[in-house]
Amino acid sequence: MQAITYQHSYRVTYGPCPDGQGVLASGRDFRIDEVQLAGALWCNLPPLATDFVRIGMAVYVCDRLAKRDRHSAGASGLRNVAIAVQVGSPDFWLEDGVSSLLQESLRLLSDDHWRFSFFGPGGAWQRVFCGPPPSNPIICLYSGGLDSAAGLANQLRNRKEPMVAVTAWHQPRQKQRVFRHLTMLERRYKRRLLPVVVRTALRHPPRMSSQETSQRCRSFMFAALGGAVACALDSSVVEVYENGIGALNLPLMRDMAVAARATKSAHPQFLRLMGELTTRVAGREIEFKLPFQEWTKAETVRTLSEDGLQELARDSVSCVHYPRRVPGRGKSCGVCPACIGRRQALLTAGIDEDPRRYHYDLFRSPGEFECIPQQELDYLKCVLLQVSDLAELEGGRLPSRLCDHLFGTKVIRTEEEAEGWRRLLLRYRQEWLQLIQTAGESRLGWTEWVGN
Amino acid sequence: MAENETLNLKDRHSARWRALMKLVAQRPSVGEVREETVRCLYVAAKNLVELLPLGELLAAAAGDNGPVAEIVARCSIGRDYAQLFERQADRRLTRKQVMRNVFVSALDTFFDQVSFRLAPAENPWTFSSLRNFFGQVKQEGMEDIRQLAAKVASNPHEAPKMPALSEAAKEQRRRQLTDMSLLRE
Repeated sequence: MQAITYQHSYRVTYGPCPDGQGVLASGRDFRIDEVQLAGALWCNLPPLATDFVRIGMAVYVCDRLAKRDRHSAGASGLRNVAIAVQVGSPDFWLEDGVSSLLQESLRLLSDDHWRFSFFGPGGAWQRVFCGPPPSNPIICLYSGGLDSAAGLANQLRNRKEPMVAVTAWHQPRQKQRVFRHLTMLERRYKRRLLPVVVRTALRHPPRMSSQETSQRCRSFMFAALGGAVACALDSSVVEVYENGIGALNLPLMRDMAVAARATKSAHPQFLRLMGELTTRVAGREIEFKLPFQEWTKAETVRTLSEDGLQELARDSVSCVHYPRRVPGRGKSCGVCPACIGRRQALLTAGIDEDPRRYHYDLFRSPGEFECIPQQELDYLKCVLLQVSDLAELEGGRLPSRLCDHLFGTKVIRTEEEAEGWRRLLLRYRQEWLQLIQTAGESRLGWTEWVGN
Repeated sequence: MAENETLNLKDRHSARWRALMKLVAQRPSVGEVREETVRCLYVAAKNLVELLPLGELLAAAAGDNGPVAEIVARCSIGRDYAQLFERQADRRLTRKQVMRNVFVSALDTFFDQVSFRLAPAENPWTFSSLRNFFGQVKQEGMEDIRQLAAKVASNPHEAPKMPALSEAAKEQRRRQLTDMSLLRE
């Protein structure tokens, strides 16, 4: 029998100056369901891990509420965010090594400058809880997307350790979707999975037009949650199921390389920093791993096809605009980078899906393609431009764009380490060239953009 | 005082880069584009000298003056370029090499955007043919870029002087001006 102790409510202040302008209280202004978290884990969350989750949530909320100024004269979109969080152990979080890790990881994600301060705890309450937690499992972050589904299937196929799937529930119907996926996976591999689904929400949020929609720091909250669960369950590994192309997220165009214009949610350096931070919180080594760093998305998805899990693939969601608020089935846009990557992977892996789930269909018929407004084709153009640029890899040379990204964002430190990435990107290019050839037979206009 | 200098082709401060794009759309020779490209870089360099603490950035990026990130954080205008210094930071490089890499990186950024805008439209250009074309432009212009980088790195407080136009370029500009209608279209 264990007693769970945590703060009933805690406060966050944030703003451009250290004394803060906005004051937010958990429960009233935002919610991360700690009761649900503890209940799912069947054990006490250590005090520092509780703090970690709270800081993650505070970052997520402030990231959404502090809108970037991109339009006024001289504005660069850069934010200086001062944030004060009520935690159980302020002294720990103020330590040099810890606060610099917080700042560095958020700077990588968002390009902003975050200044942290911490203040002491308010009231606490206790709840008695009983049950044995699983010992030393593998923790994985599970979003309900195609990569997490394919990644978990791959791991269940090859490994025997107990697995805990952690989900920050932030999308409509995400919880039901995640449970459906886990059930399909349990049935297929005859294994038990422990789901930890934690509701996270900004309550009474301002209109989307007043919010920062990039939400680049959201992945900090996801990772903090995974790290906290690893602390609680004596695990030494948190796995992130993202394919290598997605994790690296080589900016589609050069100007996306600056600022936070390209997401770095599973970037190897970000995960390294989160590993260091979680290690400090736990007081022992905890690592964030990318088991599919050397795989393309199509390669990870192929497992679903081979193991008869096509339905799981179809049920996953990838679109960054999901769910589009339009009547009918087309809840995924079909033209964002996530939709394009998903369709490329599924077509390459030989998994059919109903094209009506996409508002715009890039792959079916020339007629439908011609009807897509030009401005909706920007990401497809960017992807094809990148595929064209990757031709340089065939000569054995690393394009300067790739070099800048690999070294500039600290993915690698020596040129030898680049070889794995070079091979991966070459395979990715080949997949696209094959797809362009196939689509070209259907006379789809975009297949002529790349040239020879 | 320059207002800003960004790496965004759509930005109102990037008119000269858009003019370069229009030139490329006419399928000119590599030499013509090289010359215009170098001129664009000179103007950018002139503005950067006014906007950014170039001396500090170069020293930091070449690894002998603390972290670049702290200097970048102070740069609210010209920030796109400041971030290029952060990306090119390598203590094994000299200041001239860092500056050259920053210019090449800026060039690639604009060439990307030009390719994006030109290739799939009603042009004979494809992404591959533009990549090859810009590859040649860069190769032929590399010596000029090196010279510009050396000038800026050796005196980061003084705007570099624009090289004189070649006779062919002068002639082309003269032609453009005489062809131009005085009546607004």
